[in-house]
Amino acid sequence: MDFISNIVSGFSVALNPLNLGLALVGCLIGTLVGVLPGIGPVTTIALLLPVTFYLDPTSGLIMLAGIYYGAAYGGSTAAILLNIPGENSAVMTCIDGHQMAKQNRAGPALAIAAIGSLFAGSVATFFIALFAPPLANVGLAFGAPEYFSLLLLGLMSVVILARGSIPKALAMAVVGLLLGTVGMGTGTERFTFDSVELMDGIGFVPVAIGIFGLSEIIANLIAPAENRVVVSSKIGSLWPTRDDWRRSWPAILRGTGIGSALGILPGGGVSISTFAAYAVEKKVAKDSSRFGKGAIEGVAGPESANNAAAQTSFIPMLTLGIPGGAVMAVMIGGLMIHGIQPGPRVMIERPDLFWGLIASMWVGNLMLLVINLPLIGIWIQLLKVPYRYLYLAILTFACLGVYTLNNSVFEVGMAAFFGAVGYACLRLGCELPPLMLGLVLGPLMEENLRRAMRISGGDPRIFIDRPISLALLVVTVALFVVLLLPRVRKTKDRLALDDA
Amino acid sequence: MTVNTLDQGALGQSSDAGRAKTFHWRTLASNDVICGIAFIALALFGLWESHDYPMGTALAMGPGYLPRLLCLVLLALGVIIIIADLRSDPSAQPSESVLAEYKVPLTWSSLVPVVAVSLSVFTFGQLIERSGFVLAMLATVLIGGFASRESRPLSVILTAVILTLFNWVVFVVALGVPLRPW
Repeated sequence: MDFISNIVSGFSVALNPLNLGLALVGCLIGTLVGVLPGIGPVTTIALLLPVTFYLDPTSGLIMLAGIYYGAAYGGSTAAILLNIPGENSAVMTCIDGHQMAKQNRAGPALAIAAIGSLFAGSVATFFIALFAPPLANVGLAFGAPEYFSLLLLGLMSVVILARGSIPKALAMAVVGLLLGTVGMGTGTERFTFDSVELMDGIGFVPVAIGIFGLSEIIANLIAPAENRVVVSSKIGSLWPTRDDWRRSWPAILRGTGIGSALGILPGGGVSISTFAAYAVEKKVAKDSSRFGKGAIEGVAGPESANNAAAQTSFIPMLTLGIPGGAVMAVMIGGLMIHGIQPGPRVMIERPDLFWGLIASMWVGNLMLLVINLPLIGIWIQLLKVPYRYLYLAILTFACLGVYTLNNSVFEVGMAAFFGAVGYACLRLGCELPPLMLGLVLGPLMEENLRRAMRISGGDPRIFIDRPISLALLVVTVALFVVLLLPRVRKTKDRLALDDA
Repeated sequence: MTVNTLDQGALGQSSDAGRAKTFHWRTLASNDVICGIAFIALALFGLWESHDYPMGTALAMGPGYLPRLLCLVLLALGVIIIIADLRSDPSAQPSESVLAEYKVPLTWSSLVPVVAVSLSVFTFGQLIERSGFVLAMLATVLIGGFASRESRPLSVILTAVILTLFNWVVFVVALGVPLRPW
């Protein structure tokens, strides 16, 4: 059966020593980043993109993916032990997880979080392996008009699900698209201002590092210093009691289901699934008054959900080339650096990439369970490093990362510029992921638009005449409508959508 | 930038009598208005710069087609944003409350991190090819040190040295990136 042979070949890629090592590195860095507030997976992935240039794309992607789900795990560690959600997806875990820590039950909480995550990750991986190929097959029927509509859907979903005002997010997307037009892409110079460097267009990596990495540093330094409350609770025994198990496994199952389903949604499925999972657990529990006081279901559910969602959020990106959010957008950019255009063709042209990544995600989950639990002590120590040293390190990594990518001083300057611009955007309440995505997807959209117009002889109705394209456009419009409904809007604004 | 200071609550103690006047300032200086103006300015600049790019037709799009179209959309959005903001209730809780962590009062001194970080990265670029890795790294960290209120000179210098060594080992020795030390 195709499915089995795919999985097997995937594992053969994932288990080769280099990729194993990189998955480990990714998980460790991810956990570290997840534990430390003030630096998130988007920033880290953007910073490490230049490193992946030296690796083959599969290996690079494996490492970056490791960072992504490692961060989810690290976030929950900080949430349980310190009541600080290292990531937005860990917010729900703080509630009951930290209570458990205070009751000297941090060990079981951490263990259940890790085990639940592993289970959820396994199921989600299986899910991906099962559903991705048919989805990609659909994608193969795509021509230029369908691609255009698809890319539009991707761009719009990040705009719509952005926090804050939609017109501003839309404007940011347009700015991104405009930035994407710079250069010689279409055969004539556009907006190059006689600069040789600009003829190649505006590089996506310097912009990513600038608007996500540098602006984050600036923002952290301007905001008042946080008070770090370090709870030196002893972890105690790691093993959960039988009662814990009994309560947790249904929660894990439910969380997995919720996360797997919601993670596929473009634009922030991870956080939403943790909120949903927590709400469900509370509703379903026989004695819901336990919640908020250390109910282990309140850890098991959300943790499983967030891991499942993190895995399934790769599906739209890997099968159709639509980014679910900022993290996926950066990864898409990363793939494009290697000359791989994400989309349905990736599965056919680079099956090693696709299946290798999927297998590696499972391996990574296992590593997180086995290796991270013992390392928790170290992570806690690292939390004590004051930010005033940390940011300097990040600054140097950013500089080196940008420079070494293309040996370009110009790009370093661009990163500096976009750092300031990024911060200005943050202050003015302008969302950055749409800008990023506009820059990445813009050239593709233009090319497909041109082709579509040539095919149709200049008639824009081709986008609605062809059924798949029409369907995609309808979904785009539907997203707009649904999220503009007042009640949905308020809920969306209340939920702190994560950057993923 | 000073205009923003008014916006960020530095006038929290304004009396009721002064409120009528500050109302106008607030309206003109709100985040959304500034955004809108910036977008409009960018769009106009784009239109001006691309004024002689051939447009072509829908069938055979010229280089100017998409950029100019985008600029027009941006222009429209900028106007919409400004109008929407002027019409909304200034005392209403902005839906950007989730971005509250960035709403620290903006003063001249809060520009320091922006300048320091940008300058630090820029300096790195300028020095790395002219003066080599060591000098570039040290300068980057030293300038970057100005960005934090909490840094002490001695620890910044020490961090600079440590990071220079560390990065040399990681990037040049381990990853094999070709960089000249000086």
